[in-house]
Amino acid sequence: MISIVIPRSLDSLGRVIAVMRRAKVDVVQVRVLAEGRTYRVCIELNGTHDNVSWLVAKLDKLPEVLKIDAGDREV
Amino acid sequence: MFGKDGFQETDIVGVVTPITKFTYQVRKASEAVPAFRVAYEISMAGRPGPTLIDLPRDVQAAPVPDREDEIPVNIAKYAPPRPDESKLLAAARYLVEARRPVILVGGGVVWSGATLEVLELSRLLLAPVVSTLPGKAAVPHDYPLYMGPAGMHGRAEADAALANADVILAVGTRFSDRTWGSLDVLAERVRSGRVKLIHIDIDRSELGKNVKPTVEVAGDAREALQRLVKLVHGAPMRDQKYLSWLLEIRRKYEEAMSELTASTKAFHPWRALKAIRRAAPRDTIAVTGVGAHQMWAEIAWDVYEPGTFITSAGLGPMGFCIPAALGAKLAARDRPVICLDGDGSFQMTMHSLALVRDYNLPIVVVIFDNRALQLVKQWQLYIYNKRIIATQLSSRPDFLKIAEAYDIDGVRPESYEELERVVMRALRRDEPLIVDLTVDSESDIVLPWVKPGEWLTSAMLPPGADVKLVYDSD
Repeated sequence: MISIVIPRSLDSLGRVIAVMRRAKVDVVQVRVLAEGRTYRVCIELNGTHDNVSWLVAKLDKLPEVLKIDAGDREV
Repeated sequence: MFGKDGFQETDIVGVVTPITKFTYQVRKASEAVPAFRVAYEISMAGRPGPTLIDLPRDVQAAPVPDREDEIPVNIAKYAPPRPDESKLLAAARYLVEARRPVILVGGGVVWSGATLEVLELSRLLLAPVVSTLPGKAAVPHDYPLYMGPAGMHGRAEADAALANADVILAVGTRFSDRTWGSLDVLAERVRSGRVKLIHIDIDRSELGKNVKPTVEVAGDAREALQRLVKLVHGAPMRDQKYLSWLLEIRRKYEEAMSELTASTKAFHPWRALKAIRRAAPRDTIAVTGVGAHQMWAEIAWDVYEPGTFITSAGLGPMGFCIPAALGAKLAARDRPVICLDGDGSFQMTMHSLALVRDYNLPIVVVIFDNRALQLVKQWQLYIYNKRIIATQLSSRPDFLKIAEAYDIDGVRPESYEELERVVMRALRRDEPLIVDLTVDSESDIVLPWVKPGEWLTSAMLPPGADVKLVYDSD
C-alpha cells in the first residue's frame, strides 16, 4: 500500500496517475479521499520490490506529492 | 471558456503532464505571480527539469491583486541529500583496491560544477575518465586520462575502459542504454561481483533504477566527490598495462580514421570537425543538432572548457541546434558560438535564423550536408536489411539561398583549408556565417558503432582499426 497526500486538485491527481501508468505493477485499488485542502490517495498494488520502489521514487519526485508513505517506510 | 472547445482550446496541462517536472494551470489572478515563482524554483532545484504554467486569457487580462495565494507544493524535497559517509568510505576502499578503476561522468557533473573534483580524484587514483554524451561537456579533453564518451557512438578507448574496468565510479548519470549498449551484461557483472559499481546521483530515483550498484550514494556530485577525495588514501594498485592499452586503441582508431578520410569524396565529418576545432577558440560554445553529425561531434569534437558542448542526448530532438545556439549566444555574447548541424536537423528550425539579425546574435552554423537523415539511414543499411525508406532528401533547398534570405553570409567551401579559414574569420570577427559542407552520404557511416542491445566490446570499428576491445591482462 502506498499512501500519498497531494493538493486537492484533479491536475495533481492526473500527474500521479501519469506516473503510476508507467510502473510495472498491478494496481488493485485506488482510493481518493478529500481531506480539507488535500486529497489522500491510497494505492493498493501487487508488484516486485524493485518495481514498487521505482514507483515510490518516481512519485516522490513530483512536487505535488506533499507526503508519501510506502508501507513501513515514510519517504 | 474551458470545456467549450473554443478556438485553440487544448488541454495543455494534460498534454505536458507526463513530460514536465511541474505544471500548473492558474485559475485565479492571485495565483499567477506565485505560480511563476514556484515553477522557476522547481525547474532549477535539484536535478533541473522543465516546468509549464498555463495562463488562461481571463487571468492574463485581470488586474494583479495585492494578495498572493499559496501554491501547495513540496520544494524542500529537492534539496540535495547529504552523502552518506559510510557509503563513501566503502566506495573509497573499492577504488583504492581496484586494478582497473574507471570514473564515468554524466551530465550531473556539469550541472553540479564538479569538474575539478573529478580530475583530482582521477589523478589520485590514476583512473581513466569516461563520459556519457552529456558528460562530454564536463571534462577538458586535453586531460591525459580522459578517454572520451562511451556508448553507441562513443570512442573505442572509452568503450574499452568501461567494459574492462573492475571498479566503476559513475557520477551524475542515469545508466542510459545509449551509454552501455546492454545493461543486462553490466547488471550481471555487478551481480556476480566481477565489477564493483559505485553510483553517485542527486536524484534518488536513479539509484538502482536500471542497474543495482554495489554502493549507492545519494547526493550532489560535487559535494560527494569532495568528501570522497578526502577518503582516498594509500597507493593505488594499478594494472600498469591498462592505460597504455587504452591509449593504443586511441592511436589505432585515429590512424585508421585519418587514412579512411584522406581519400573520402567531398568532406568527411571526422576530418571537417578537426579543421573547425582548429579554427575555433578554446572557449567556443559548440552546439549540435541531432543525427550523424552529432555522433561525429561526440567522437571528434574536443571540449576544453566545462559546459561548452551543448547537445540533446535523451530525446534526440532534431532541430535543436539553431535555437540552442541562439540561446547560448544570448547568454554569452562575448563567446564564439558554433552550431554543428545536419541538413535534416537544420531544416526543422531554420526559420529561427531570422533572430540572428533581429537580435544581433552572430552564430556560425556549419551544415554537414549529406542530403539524408543519415543516422536512420545507417540503421536501415545495417539493421533493416538495406531498406532505405524516407531518409534520402532531394537537393532542395539551396542552403546558400536560405542564408541570403536571412541576410547572412553563406559559403560552400571546397577544401578543409578553406573551411578552417572561413570559420576562423567569422568567429574572430563575431560575424554570422552559414557553411554548407558537402558530405558524401555513402561514406558517412558513423564508427565506432555499438549496435542497440550489444555490449561495448562489440563496437564496429573503421577498417584498419585492427584492435580488440577485450583486455588481456596476461
